[in-house]
Amino acid sequence: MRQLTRNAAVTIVAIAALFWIVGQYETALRDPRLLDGWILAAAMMAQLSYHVRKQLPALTLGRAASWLKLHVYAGYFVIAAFLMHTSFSLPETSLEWVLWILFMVVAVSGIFGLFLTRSIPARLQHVSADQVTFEQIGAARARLAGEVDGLMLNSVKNAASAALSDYYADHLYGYFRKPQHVGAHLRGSRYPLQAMCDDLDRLESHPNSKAEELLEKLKAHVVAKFDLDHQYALQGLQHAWLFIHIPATYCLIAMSVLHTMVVYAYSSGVR
Amino acid sequence: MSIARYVKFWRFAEKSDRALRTKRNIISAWVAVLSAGLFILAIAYASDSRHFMPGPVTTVHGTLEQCTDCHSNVSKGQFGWLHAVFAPADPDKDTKSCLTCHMMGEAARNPHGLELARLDAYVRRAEASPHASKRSTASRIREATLPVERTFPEGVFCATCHKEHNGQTFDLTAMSDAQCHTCHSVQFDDFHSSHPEFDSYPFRRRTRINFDHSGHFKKHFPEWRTKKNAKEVPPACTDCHTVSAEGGHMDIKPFEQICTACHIDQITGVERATGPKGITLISLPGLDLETLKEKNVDVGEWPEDAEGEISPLMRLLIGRDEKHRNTLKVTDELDLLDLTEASDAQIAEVKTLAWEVKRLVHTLTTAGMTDFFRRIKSATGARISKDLATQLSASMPHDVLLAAQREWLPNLASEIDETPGEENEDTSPVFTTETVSDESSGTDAAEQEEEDAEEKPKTVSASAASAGQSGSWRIDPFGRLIKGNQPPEDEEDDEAEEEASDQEGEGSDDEVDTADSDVSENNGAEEIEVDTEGWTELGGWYRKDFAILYRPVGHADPFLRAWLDLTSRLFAEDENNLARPAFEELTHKDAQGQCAKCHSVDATKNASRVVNWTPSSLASRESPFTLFDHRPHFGVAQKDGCFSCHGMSKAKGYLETYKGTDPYTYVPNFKQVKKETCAACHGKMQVRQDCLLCHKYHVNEIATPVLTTEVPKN
Repeated sequence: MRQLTRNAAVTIVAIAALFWIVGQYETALRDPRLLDGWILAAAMMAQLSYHVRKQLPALTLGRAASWLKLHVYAGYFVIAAFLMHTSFSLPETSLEWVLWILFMVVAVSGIFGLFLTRSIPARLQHVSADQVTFEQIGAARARLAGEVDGLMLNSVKNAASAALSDYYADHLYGYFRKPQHVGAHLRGSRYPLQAMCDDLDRLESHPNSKAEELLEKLKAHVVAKFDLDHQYALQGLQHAWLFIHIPATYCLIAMSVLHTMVVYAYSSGVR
Repeated sequence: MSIARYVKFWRFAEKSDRALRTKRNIISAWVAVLSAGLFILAIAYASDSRHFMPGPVTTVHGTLEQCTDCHSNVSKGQFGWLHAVFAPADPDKDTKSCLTCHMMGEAARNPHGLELARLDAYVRRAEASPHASKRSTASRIREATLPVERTFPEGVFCATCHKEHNGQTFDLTAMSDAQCHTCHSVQFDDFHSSHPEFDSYPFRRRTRINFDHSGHFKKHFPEWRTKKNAKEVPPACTDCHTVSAEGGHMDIKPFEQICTACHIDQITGVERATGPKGITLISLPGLDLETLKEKNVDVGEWPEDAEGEISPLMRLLIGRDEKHRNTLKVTDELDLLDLTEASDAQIAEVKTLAWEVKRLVHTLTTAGMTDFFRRIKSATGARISKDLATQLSASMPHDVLLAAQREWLPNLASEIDETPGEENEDTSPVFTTETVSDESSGTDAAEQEEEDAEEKPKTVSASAASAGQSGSWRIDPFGRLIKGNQPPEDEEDDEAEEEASDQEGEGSDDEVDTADSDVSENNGAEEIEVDTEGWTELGGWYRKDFAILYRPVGHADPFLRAWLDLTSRLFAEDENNLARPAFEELTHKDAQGQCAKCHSVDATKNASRVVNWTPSSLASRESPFTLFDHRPHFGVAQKDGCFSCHGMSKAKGYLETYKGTDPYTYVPNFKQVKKETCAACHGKMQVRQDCLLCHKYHVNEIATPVLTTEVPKN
């Protein structure tokens, strides 16, 4: 908390300093958009350094977490610089709209990503006792599917429960092979799991001991698969937002370079 | 995105983190390259380049379709802008583009558009102010890091203050107080708390029209009210003052509306009890003819009764060269009516003067007014416009001159014929082509040549007539100027001529002229005694005794104004300056027309004079930086009216200050306006108090070019 307060204070001071300096620059009859534009460009390039750091994990340039913090707080500063550069107003021409939308996509996706980075680990911890990494989820799912397949084959041999075997073949075979109920997982709903368990309970109104054992084992696997899907959905989301944030960042930087070129081409020469 | 697609995407994302990063980077690079390429193509081939502006221009600049209309650094062509990226921008070029439509003169790039000398004077005054050291910390930091001299090394450019591309309704003229403080050493936070006290506001100088408010309020108005017509006394300030439609300046109503009732008779001379009511242009000075005769000095015919003096205006006509100026100087020291003590040399100058007066009368009678102005030009070096000449001569009728000559010097023509020629050798053009006289202004050479061509024949004719090169000149019995000893052939058929000839018979010129005056006598015509001065009560030319005078026609008399303008311009402290006595004669307190009673006279930098014909106005205000609109203040000054701000001063000496010519040495009728008066509302009552409310940046007029549409040739 103390660290958060310190970081927030530093960011607020930096933003206030930015506003004061640009204000003084404007008061000195210079072009303030030139100054805050270059400050914005410099801050954006600084943000890019986090991406470079992630590309080069072999380099020991400080902890990744520290870089992320810097990236996040510098991001707030960049947003302030952007708002100042745009005079807190919406754009009115095509190129301005392109730049504005790109920046908004980068900024909003970044803030969303930050939210995911903060919220998903807690949700995973809360729901799933056994956590696997995103890369291990596929293998875990296959292992679960194999175990269920073996279980159901044995049940057929032992004629434990024809109803359970039929239900598995019709409804659960695919469930164990693909990620399912993604929407419910993102919403944090366990309704699909409850529905599947209720269906299984209704299949055997008078189960024998074999069928009861099979039913319990099958339900345990259904729950395990549901938890695995939950992890998959949340961890997948954590990876997916970067497919918006990073390409948009690349595009924004390219367009910003062109914007700078246009600005200098059509500059009045007043600095 | 549907869940099925989401899942498909996740499958892709299922791969290792490194693989994901690689894929992301590839996608990102492609997106960036494609978008940049599309942008470059779009900007190069777009039909409307305004899509790439940083923002719309204001509506007043909305008709500018091409970026290059203003951005002079960008060359035309699809990729011209790419070249401009690397070419150094020249703000001066863009400023020139602005100045094409907003013409501001040579000093446009100087702060406030002021000439450097004036700017320097203002800066020195500001630096000497006691408020100069009162500066904020931010101001000091700003000056240390962003010094003004580094901001404007080559002047102030339009784009320094006027930021375009901020929207159609953006106020291009908006400027914060802090921006004003950037350059100004006198710093203050806001008007009501720290603006310097007003310095002699609003009266930096005496009023151009000498109107003693105190004297009128305390003495003249009450007197007029009791003795004459009370209705003619203005009951309110607004009876004399009116607010101008533009700028809210308090103007003064015309003389005819507010002053005529009491003052017109002073101008026309009706109230003048003694002395002539008109101003003398030509006069025959009185001469001690007896002494001249004793000393065998031949001045020819000269009326014994003449006893006047050379008038100051006439001196301008006589002093046409160094010789005659010297003559005037020598004869000034003499009593021309008593030359018994005069030396031979002085007597010789008296003779020269007498003959020059005769020559003047003769040339004016015979050569017209061009010679009149040629003499002025020779005397002063001043060339004048024909418009001004018209006013200076006040359309003097030839008959006035002719009648004077016939009565004063009836044999003048033959006398001049017998006298060796001594005419003005100056044959250069007399008039300028300008409508307003200005000796310093140049005249186009081609126009001057044309002028020469037009004027020369008249000059030659006049010279020839005076020099008697082609026969004698004489006046026929009907006052017409004729040349040669014999009447012109074309006049032989003239009945009047014949009648006159019948009566007088053939004779010498002298006899003809003398007989002319006898005609009326011999005819037994009744001689009517007319008070010529009274006859011209409405103004104009008249002759009295041995002088030709002009009586003012009323206020703003063009003759008096023209002579005052001419002589004020030629005025110099030099005792030999011929315009000086004329100007002093015209501005004397008892001068005809009494122009200078109300119209103050200021000394100029070159020691000449200027007559203030008009009261202060928006155009003539001394402080070009300050604006004040009276109109919004009328509603809040109901209780004390004009006196809410303009309190009467008890200081004495208002009229005394008009005896001098320094307009800045003055005693005002009104107290200066205090800052507190304004601050009572501006600041304390949330009324605007920013710099631009009362001050303006561009002190000079910003002109717009006029269309130069050629007329159709076919």
